Amino acid sequence: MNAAPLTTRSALIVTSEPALLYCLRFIVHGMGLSVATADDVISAQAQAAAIHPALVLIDLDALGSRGFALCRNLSGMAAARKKSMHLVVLSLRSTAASEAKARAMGAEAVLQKPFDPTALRQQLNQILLGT
Amino acid sequence: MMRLPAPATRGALLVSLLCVAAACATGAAAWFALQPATRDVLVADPRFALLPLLAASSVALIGIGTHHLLRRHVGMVPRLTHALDLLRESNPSLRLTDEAPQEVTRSVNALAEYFQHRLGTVENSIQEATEALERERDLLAALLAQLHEAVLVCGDDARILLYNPVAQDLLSREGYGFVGLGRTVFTVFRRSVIVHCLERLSERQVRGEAAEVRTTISTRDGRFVHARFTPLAQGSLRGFFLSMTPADLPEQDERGPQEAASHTANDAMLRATHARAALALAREHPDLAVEDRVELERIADAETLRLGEDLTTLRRLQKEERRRRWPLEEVPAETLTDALRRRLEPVVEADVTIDIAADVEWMRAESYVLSAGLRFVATRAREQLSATAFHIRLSRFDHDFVALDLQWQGAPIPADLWAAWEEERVQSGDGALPYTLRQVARRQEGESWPLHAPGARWLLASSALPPSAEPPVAGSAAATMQPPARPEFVDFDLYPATGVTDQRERPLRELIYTAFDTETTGLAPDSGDEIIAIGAIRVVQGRILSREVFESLVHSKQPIGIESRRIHGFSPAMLAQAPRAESVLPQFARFCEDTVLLAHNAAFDLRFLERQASPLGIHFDQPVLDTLLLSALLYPEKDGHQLESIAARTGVSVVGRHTALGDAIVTAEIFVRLIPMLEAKGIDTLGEALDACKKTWYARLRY
Repeated sequence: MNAAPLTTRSALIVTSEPALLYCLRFIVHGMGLSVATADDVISAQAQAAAIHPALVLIDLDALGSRGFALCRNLSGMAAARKKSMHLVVLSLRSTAASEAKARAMGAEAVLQKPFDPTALRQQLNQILLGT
Repeated sequence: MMRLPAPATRGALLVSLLCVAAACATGAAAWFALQPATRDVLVADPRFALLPLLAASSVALIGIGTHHLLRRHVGMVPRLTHALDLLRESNPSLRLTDEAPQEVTRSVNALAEYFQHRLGTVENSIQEATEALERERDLLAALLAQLHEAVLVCGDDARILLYNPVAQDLLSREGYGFVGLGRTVFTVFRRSVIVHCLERLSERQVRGEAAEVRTTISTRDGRFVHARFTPLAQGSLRGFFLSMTPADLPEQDERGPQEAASHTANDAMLRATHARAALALAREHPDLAVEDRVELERIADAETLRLGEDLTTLRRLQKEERRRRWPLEEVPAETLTDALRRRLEPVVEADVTIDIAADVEWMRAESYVLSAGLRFVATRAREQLSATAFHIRLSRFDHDFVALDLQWQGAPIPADLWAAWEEERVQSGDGALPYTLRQVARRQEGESWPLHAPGARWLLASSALPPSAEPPVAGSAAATMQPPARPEFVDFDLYPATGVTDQRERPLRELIYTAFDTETTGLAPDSGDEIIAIGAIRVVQGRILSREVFESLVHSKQPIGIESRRIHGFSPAMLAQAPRAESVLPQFARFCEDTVLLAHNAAFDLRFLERQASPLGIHFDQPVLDTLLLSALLYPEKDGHQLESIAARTGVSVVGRHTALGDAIVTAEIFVRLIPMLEAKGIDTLGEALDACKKTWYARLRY
């Protein structure tokens, strides 16, 4: 696990939904992470390559198939750099099969919408702490 | 034309010649028997000049007598033969009048009387047997007409042997397939769909499982039906039953998922309204009392929570509805992999190997849809990733899912490429599945994704138990039909055909014809005259199928000639609303697909058809039989080969002439009666009929 304090870490939020972006930024910022955002897959990949965030939140409902591809690409990038990158996807239609797919594509967790902010904060903290 | 006299006439002529010769010889002998002196006296007599005159008049007398005697013999043989042919083949009530000498006429007519009587006796017993058969057929037809399901029975060549009116209503659509006896079911469904289901059927039989396949299939024009395939193996009959209900029929049950969904949507809208009202109140009154503010927040919170619940319910109902419409098949692992392999091998052009883990047994999948997805991925992988050596592997993923992996040698799929594939349709063309690669997986209630190794994975719902024998919910067809007067939608005689595939070699009796006629604005297609009506009827193995007709007016800008108008009675006003040739001709072409065309004076109609259809890329290049040429072939010595004359000769009553359909029906009826006469002339097959027609004089007539 990376021993650096949480404040030096960054998170990347990928969604094209402004309302969701606002809420997520509010939550993640409140956790003490610096926040970068991207509203499409290409800028997300560029940002991730530049800042190598500790946490990436990917909104599958906004990105569709390309969201899964982003997961796989980012997990490949993290593996190549031998650095950890927690990939978390958010989805409204979370079924057993789609969760299996997300994990197969490199996501660490699949969080379901609609979410409760407090619960979401807790889940993300657990992921970052590796518990 | 010079004809050699018949033997009897020749004999008679010979006798008369002999008489003349004998008379001459007697005269000459008498002359030479006289004394020279007596001859001189005679020669000197002024009346001697009358002697040659006397000889000439006796020869003339003999000639007149002979002609009188032989009058009835001249040309008697062809007249008699023709009359006897007619008598035997089509009109047993025909009697001779002045075709032959009285005594011949008498004996022939006596024979004809006897023949007709015997024929009547035979016909009586045939009729009794036929009536018994007809009763059974009526019963079957009544039974079929009562069914709410659409039913097709097809031979093993996929030709329709039986259909019920519901099937015709369900499947026949303007511009698409026609359901009819002898038509192939592939005009309605994609061939690959039917073949796939039949393969599944035979696999089930081989395994000793219940011999039926239930699935949802699409017609060529993109409508979906729930279909049930069962095998047909009765006596010498081989083929399959196909019963169908429309897949998009509204549920009869009033509180079906649709009703519930609309109820829930209403509720969701109410919740959203309440929440927005509460939020607006809070915003507009910043100075609200604390308890009011708390209450408004509570309302907004509670109402949005219910809104979320409503939407979850809606999604569940949607899913239920989809499941009801599209039941997934329960398939055993081997069946699924066999089906997939068979569909894959043609596109990868190599063997596909299979590996099934021991703990994988049954799963739920739509094998046809799934196989389309795999074909799509295999095709793309071959093109874009140089994939070879395809392998299908089934393994357990977890308790609920089975992993179906399509693996290959070559490059793995880049994630972005897969993301692009997922949005593409897996099939194209008419009757193609309307799904993208992603939807293919979703329809299996699973997912699909690219493997790290070269390959892709589909998750399929695992089913713990073999399927129960319970039939799925079936909708009921809306249409109820009165039983038809004549049950023409059954024809097991279509089976078995002689097995000769070349149409030219097939007997005339066995073929399927489209008898058709057109009405036109005039007689000169080259000067711009056009078709204004087309009528057609199908003749299947000698039976005229009155349910299987085509009739359409055709819009025309061309003025209608007075003559033509007098014939068919169409006015420009009647044609103003008619569909254009661009839409009628393609339909007509589909109607007569794979049949032999039949028309009276076909060259005329074809000339018009070709002129108007060629620019649309449509060609009528099927074989054509012409009742005019056939008539000229059968009655070379008769002059009248108009439809009416032939109808009269063959005993066809002419009703509704000069409507395209009316004339097509008369043509069909005439043709059916000509078949035995052609056979009597040794013309049995289509090829022989076409060749013989070509030789007749009328064949040289060109429009």
